[in-house]
Amino acid sequence: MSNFQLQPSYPLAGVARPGCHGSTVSPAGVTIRVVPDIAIALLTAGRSTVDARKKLGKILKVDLPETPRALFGKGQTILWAGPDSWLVLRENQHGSGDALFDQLSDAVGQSAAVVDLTDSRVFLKVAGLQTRAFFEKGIAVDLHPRTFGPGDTAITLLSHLSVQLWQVDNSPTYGFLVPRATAQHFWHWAEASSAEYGLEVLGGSSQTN
Amino acid sequence: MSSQSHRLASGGLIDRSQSIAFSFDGRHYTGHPGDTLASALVANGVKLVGRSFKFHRPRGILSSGPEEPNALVELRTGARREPNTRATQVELFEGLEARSQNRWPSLEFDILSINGLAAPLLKAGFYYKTFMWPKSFWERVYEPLIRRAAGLGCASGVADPDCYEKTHAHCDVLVIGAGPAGLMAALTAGRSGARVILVEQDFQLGGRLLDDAVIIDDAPGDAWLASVVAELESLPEVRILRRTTCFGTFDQRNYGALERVSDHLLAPPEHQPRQRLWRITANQTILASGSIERPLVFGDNDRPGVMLAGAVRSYLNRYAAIPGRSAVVFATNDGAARTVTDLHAAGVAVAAVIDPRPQSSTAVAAAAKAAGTNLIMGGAITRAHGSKHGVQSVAVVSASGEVRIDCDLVAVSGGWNPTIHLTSHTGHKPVWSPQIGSFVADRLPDGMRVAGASAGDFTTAGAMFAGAAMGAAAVEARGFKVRKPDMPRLAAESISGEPLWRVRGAKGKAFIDFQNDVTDTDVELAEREGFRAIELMKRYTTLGMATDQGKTSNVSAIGIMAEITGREMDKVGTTTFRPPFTPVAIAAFAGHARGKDFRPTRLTPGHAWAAEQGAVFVEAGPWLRAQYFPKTPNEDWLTAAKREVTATRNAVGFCDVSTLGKIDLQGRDAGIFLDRLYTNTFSTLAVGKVRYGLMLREDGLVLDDGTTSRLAENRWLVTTTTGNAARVMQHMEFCAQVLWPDLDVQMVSVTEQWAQVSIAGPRSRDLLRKLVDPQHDISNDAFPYMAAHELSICGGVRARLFRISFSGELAYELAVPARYGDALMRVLATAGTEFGASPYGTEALSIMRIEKGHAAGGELSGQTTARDLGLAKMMSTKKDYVGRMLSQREAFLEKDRPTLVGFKPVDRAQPLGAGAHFIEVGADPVIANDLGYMTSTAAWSTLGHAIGLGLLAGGLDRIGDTIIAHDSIRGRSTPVEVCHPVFYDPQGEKLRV
Repeated sequence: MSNFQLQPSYPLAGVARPGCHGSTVSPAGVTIRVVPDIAIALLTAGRSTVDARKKLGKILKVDLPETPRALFGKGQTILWAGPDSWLVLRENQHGSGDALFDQLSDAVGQSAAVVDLTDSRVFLKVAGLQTRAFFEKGIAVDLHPRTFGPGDTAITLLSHLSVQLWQVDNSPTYGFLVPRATAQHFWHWAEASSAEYGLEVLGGSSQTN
Repeated sequence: MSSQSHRLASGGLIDRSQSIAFSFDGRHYTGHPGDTLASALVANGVKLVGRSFKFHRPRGILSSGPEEPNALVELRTGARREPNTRATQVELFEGLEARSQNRWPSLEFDILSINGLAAPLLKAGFYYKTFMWPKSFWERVYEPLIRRAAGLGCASGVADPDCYEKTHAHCDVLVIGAGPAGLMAALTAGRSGARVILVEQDFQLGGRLLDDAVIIDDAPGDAWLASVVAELESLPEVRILRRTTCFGTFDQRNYGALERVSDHLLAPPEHQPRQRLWRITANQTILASGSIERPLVFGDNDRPGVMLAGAVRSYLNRYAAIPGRSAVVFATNDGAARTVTDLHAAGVAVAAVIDPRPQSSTAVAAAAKAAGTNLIMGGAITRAHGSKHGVQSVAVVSASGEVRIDCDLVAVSGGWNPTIHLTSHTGHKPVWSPQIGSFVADRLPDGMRVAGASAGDFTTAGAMFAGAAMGAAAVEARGFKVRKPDMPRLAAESISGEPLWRVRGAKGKAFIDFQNDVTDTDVELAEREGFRAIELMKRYTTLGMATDQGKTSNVSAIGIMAEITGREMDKVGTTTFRPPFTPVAIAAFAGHARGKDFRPTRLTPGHAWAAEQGAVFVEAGPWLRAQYFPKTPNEDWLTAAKREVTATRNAVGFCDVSTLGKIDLQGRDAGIFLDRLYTNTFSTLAVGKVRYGLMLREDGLVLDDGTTSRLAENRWLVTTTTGNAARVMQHMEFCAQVLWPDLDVQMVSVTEQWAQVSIAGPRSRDLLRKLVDPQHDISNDAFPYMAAHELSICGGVRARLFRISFSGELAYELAVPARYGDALMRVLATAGTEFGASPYGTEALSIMRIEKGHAAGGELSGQTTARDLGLAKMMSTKKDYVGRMLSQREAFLEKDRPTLVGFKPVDRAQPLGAGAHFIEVGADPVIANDLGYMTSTAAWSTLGHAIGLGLLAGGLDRIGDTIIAHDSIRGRSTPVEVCHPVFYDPQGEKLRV
């Protein structure tokens, strides 16, 4: 046994400070929770398989989306991530992708590639009445309820960053993934862009303290 | 404080219960909420507001809108100082400080107004003709001199303290302009349930309904307007953007708009931007941008007090401000009737109405009669007389001879030009309409309709009808059931008119373009000198340039050119409209992307730790990498790098290499895919091994290099250089999707998933042994050079270990999930203390790789072949790969093509410089004698002196020769000895211990 322990650290720790920022309106127009303990794996169907999506869906017992949609299950979200490609997000994994990766790898065998991406993205939940106006400042996707509702997802650009967002519910709440190395750049954008609405950072987790 | 001497006691859309204090050129005035700076100046009787660009002639307010060429002022002070602001669009606010421009020492007494005396010299093309010789004087002498004499306003010169924003919006229907047509369009679309964005550049909705006394449904138009605005505001899917100018039409139904969020305030409120740039994606668009009135071209028509008739009505009706006490109306159209009626109602004496048409209309005649004034038909003003404080009388010539009429206001109208800029930004030229005497849109951008005055429909009733109809058509196109509002009832309007491009027999200077001081004789001169094409005439005379882009002058100039050349208007044609419609500050385009946020900065997982160590960072593409770790604050980079190299070569060093590109590659055909991608073979690589690979571009030049590991039968990890990571990923995706779609491969970037550290030096294995979990054997036998395993460290953390070396030492790269990257650096520092471990940065890394002759940035320049880099033996002859064919081009195989060698200064104390060119000893440093150049240098090496790598004709055949490294940039000519590019451990024995 090694005498050394590795403590995890997170890119928004000390940057996304819990509390209220910007305008002091109450309630804040935008709330952001940095979600810890999430595991993320990418699943890409093998190209030589005919009807790969359906076969893979059968193995995983879900109807994998064929279009930019999100599937919500118990503690798990599956996001369309490109043709024959999906991101699986599982909560309460203590931030480790090991269990999810192992389980998916065992399940799909050689029919799909599984890659642990837990550490490559920062996962945020964004809610509040001004969330759409906030995201519109960076994203060219139309988020109006008539065109983008719960279960819709988009892989797009925000302030030069490749991001993915999806709508969780009508409150509205959105899930949001931003690349780890540029999470601080995103945060500067987010603080500036939410300032007029008021931003509340929910936290107390290791990812924000 | 002056009283508002020219303000009417009642009427207008201003709030007399509140006063706003402001200053102009240091004098204090008051206005009211609802005023613009221009209307407040009018209300205070201020006529002289600026000096003209070239002749420094006194100028007054011409218009009441965005077309204003004269009343350009500098607003605010300090860092917020803003030049060239149109006073007609500046909403008055408490404490506003405005200053006139282009005058010295004062607006009243402007020394450069003597330019006016030299006017005969300062005609079109004057600068081009006069300041031609000597050529070298242009940039150094003439241009700075001219600029100092001319410039309109100046920037603050300090950083802008405000923030700017960008945002996106989408809608079914975009309505541009909230006049009668736009309001009806928005109301129809809004009631039908469509998502509507209504954009209005003014702070009030209404357009000309605000300016003209219009009766709607038998009541003043205000009542109708208020009810429509209230309804629009109540519709949840209608967004109204006031103070917002739609400045450009772009491809795929995109529009640019600038919202002046806080320009009407002294400073933006906390957390609010100064301005916001909107990118609006609109399925359907209704352009209801109205029209701009043409001034008339007669002698000294630029005197303060000569004002567009529509603007006169605007100041009277909207602002209850009277631009003069005694007016002459000079108009080519029936709009004169409204002007006369409104002037008379406001108590302004109408001295005369002049209509150049041989027969005026009954409407004008009736209005003139009601106002008790004289209507002169078939006449024209030939000259305005007066002082710098404005016009005092006009000379009028008609069939009955010349008369002088006293006045202090001349309300002019040459007709109206539809505001069609946004119809032609995507490349469609407008066409001439003889019916309305102006240009109208022909082909329209996708999804756009034009309504009202911008379509040449100048009656209020017609505009409302067209707006409603187009609103209906737009929502129908989006699948909504149309719910049309009731059509308001309006009286019939008489709008006939005849264009008059200029007054014949005018005396004095007859200006077409006020902003650029271009007269009718300048257009004649341009024509005489051959600049007949309208685009050339524009450049030669500068007509239609600068901030107003000829909004009041272009069509008249075209008319005059048509007259002179005897061509039809549509044969002369128009210049090209380009965005923006009115100027947009660069800051608005940047939004929050300023300073450090200009582009994303990528931080490695170990960044915080390195920063704590006092590391100095360097930009490597978007990344920040530790350049060196000074031991004391004063330790310079070279001392630190020497220390870091020494520690690594003698003990152990560790370096964050997380920035290198990492691509997870899987699939049954991954091996074949790699064989086609790399020059060398990968399919034969055993599981648990890593191999160095070289990739070419299609053109046979080197794309990138890196190591690729086989972690499992069908699972590989490809690595790239930091700088080429995205390029290689793109290349691989292209190959997989386009070139070989039949191959079963899946790939994804995992660069950010893994923190990776290079651990190098004779004690590296000892250090690793303390971290790697005991069940893993990392002895030299079990884990030899070029081994690559997945294992665990520090009690079960999944990791990847690669025995590869860039430094030339016994070395490893250790990867852990990024969340442990920071902790790994800390653990290495702690666990390495007993071995004398040191972190090292990119400077030490670079020295060590040059010592080993590894190609990197300087060599992988996109201009080198594998052979150039001494890597020809890596080019397989047993298989095909990208770039193979073109890598065999004749020129790439030429014997004296420069190839990679090493260099040492003959005098070991001398420095070397990257970029130096090689020449033979005694040869002249000219390009004909060029033998190649130095690609990389290390200021110091373990050999005790500077070393370099470079591409030299003859390459390895020249080992032992002395040549000259000629460095023209640093002014050095250094004799260097050619040597093998591997300076350190040429047999690679240290790698395998």
